Amino acid sequence: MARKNANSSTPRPTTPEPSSVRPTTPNTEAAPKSAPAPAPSAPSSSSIGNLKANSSPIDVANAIWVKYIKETPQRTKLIDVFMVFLVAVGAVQFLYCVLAGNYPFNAFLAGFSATVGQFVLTASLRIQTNPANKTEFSSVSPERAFADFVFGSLILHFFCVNFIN
Amino acid sequence: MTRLRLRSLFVALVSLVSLSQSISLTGPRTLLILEDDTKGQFLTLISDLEARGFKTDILSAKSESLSLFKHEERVYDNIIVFPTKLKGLGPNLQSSSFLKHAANGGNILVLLPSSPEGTIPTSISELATQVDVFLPPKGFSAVSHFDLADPIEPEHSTLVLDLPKFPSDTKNYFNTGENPSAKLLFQGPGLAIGGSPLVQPILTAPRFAYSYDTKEASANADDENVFAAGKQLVLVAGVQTRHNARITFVGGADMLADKSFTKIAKTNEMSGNRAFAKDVTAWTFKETGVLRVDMIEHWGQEFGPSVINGDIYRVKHDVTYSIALSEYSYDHFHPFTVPETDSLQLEFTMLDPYYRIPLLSSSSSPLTARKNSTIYTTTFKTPDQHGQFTFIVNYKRPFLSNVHEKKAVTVRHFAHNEWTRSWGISGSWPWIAGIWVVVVGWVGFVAVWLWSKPVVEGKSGKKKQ
Amino acid sequence: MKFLPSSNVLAAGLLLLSQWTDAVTPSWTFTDASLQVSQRGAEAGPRQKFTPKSPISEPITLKATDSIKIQLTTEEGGKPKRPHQLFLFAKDSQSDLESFFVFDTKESGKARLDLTQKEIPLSLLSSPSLTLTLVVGSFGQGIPVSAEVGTLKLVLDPATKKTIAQPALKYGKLEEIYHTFRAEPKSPPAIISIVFLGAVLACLPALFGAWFTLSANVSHLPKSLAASPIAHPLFFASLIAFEAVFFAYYTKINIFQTLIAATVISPVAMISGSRALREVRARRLNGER
Repeated sequence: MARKNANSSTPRPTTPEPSSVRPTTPNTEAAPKSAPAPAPSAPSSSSIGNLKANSSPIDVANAIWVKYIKETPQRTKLIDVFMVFLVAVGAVQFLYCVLAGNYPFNAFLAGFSATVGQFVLTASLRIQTNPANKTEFSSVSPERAFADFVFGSLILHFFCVNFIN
Repeated sequence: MTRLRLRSLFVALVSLVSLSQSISLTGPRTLLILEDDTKGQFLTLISDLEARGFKTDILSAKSESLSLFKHEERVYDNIIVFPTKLKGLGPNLQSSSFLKHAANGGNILVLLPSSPEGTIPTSISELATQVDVFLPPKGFSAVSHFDLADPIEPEHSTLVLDLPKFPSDTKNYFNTGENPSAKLLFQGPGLAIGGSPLVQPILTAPRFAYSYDTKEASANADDENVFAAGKQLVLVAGVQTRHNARITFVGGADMLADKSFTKIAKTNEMSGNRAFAKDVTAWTFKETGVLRVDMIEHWGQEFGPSVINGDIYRVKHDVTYSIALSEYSYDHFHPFTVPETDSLQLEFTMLDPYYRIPLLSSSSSPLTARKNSTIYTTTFKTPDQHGQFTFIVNYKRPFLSNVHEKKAVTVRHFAHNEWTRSWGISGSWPWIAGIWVVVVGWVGFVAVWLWSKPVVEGKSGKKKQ
Repeated sequence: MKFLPSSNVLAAGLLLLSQWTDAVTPSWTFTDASLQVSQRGAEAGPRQKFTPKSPISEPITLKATDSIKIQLTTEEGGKPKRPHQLFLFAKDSQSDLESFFVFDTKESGKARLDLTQKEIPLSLLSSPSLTLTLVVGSFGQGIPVSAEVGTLKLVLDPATKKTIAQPALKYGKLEEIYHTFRAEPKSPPAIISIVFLGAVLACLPALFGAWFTLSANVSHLPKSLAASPIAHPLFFASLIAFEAVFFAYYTKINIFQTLIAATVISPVAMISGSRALREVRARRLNGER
């Protein structure tokens, strides 16, 4: 039963996440008030643990969202917003390509790969600078990761500008 | 004695007129393979040739000094084989020698015996077979009950016929006499030709004429004893080899003999044979129907006429190609005109022709005007396909020497800076914007990452509003 | 009985007349001429009669298995006689090519010709219709005659059609060829591009708006400037310079100028960047990030 439901409504939880942050903010605002700080000391398992076994997919998505809002450092959220922005720009370009044709194709490749490449670079920056992953990247300081990110991004921008003609 | 005298007289005549007279493009040295007993029949033909500047050398086939080659070089430019009673022409006149002569650019005129009793030497029939001409065996004679020169002649073997006519896309070099409606006299076995385009019929028999075996079928021409009939029976055939040597077969020597240069009893008018003999010899010995390419120019839109015959052209660019042609006529070159229903065509080829377009005569070339040639020119757009292309002008027509001009050029693709820039194409605007939006967003992100002051967790909820 | 003499006289008179005309112009002709098409394994078709003046009006059809039989008697000046030439000419009405077929003739003037598709030359087989002409002629004074017999339509086998598909090579102009260019690629309507251009550009304010709502700021800038007054602005300026060079590369300068500019900016960015990031690390270690 639950799986069937989940299948039928899978698009829904994903839609609010990437496209825009603002519309969902009322949701996030409501969430902490309805469940006020259950366990600030050990947050990792508690918010999901609050869910009942038969809770609806919307509830599950809500719970994940609430957990994300509460536990992600603000600096990481800024990175996430940037990534969401890249996804949005990429999606618009892809949609345009699908609707209006891919001529000139090199321009599409350049424009689209700019967003994809930037997304990948930003994702690795996020992974390397996320405090949660500190143990894994003990040898790479956040600054070093940022320097790599800047270097990679400049190369990417040059490539895209070169390719679009 | 008389022979010597005659000859010296001819030589004197030649030396007098040859200075001002025309000359064959191949050369004047002409060998006449002629036996003494037949010489008297062709005096006018020979003197007409000498008057046109040919240096004749009359030799018997039996003559020991007769050789077509000396140190592997052609001794003669032109050869006329007159009818002979000999069955073989001897070791120096094998069919291979004749072919070698032609392969070296020499011309040959073969006159077959008119009388059914006449023999055709083996080397001549071998030569004919090798150039796709088929000669009837001994004893054949062409007759027509419809086109008699003389109604009381019992054999019906002297034919009266019109001067040659050709389709409108073929130049006629064989009716240049003063009287275009003159009739021709013909007597002989005739011949047949194969399907090769190198062999062209110059004169065909009248519609209901036929060539039959006079011995076997004297009472009735049955199926086995008829050689050919109607238009299939060719009286004069011209062969032009691939390198423009010419071999002409006349199916009855009397046509060019003195006895045919007379009045025709039926019409009481002079026959056109003498003028026809001139036309046939002139064509065979390359006094007519020889084309010359005087100039080829091609240039592209990229550099314009300032760069002529360049090797590189760009795709989808206009290219102009011009070729100047002139034609030899007895003693000079004059502008060549393509017959109206014919077309001089230019091919632009890479494996297959991408274009085959007519070249049109232009009064003046965009580049140079020429006095003695016609300039044919055309402009076309190079295909949207890069590679090694070839300009080909392949003008091969009956009775004209071959024009086959090839020039390979490169057609290159757009250089990288020849494409329309991306902003010039409205379709790419969103993608251009995509790049610069990412760049601006990235710069902003770098600033935020470098200098953003962290906010206390608790405050975030309030600040969002 | 009574009429006999008079008829005899008439006949004799006619004979005399004909002999008189013969003496002036004896001419060749043919009588009892008939053409018969017969199919293999079937009864022969009707005999179609023709004379020098009246050819067979209907077109004669000849299939691959059919054969044509023509029978006639030749006469010179009214008397049956064997001519020297008795041919049937077949002419292609389009190409003017003409071929001929020889009759079998007897002393009596009786002649016969059998004709099948096999005997017709390949070059004539492709013709839509052949005009048949009969020619009788001989030596002597007799005036020869040529008479149209009719037109022949050939119905070919598919196998035969294949063999005649290729005409002999003849010199002449060839068919013109023009290159067909591929269609130029086309941009979509500009309005669609403009709408999507707007959508892409709108993402930028959305990004900054989202950052703003998440309290992103540049409040540490004064602090950073105080800590490393040269490195920070220089680093940021070099990044902007890089992007400016890229923009210039996109619009006007070439790759060599771009590379020169990049080699000039790169060391500045590297040195100032490492200084600036050292300051950032100091802040992080101070717990200010």
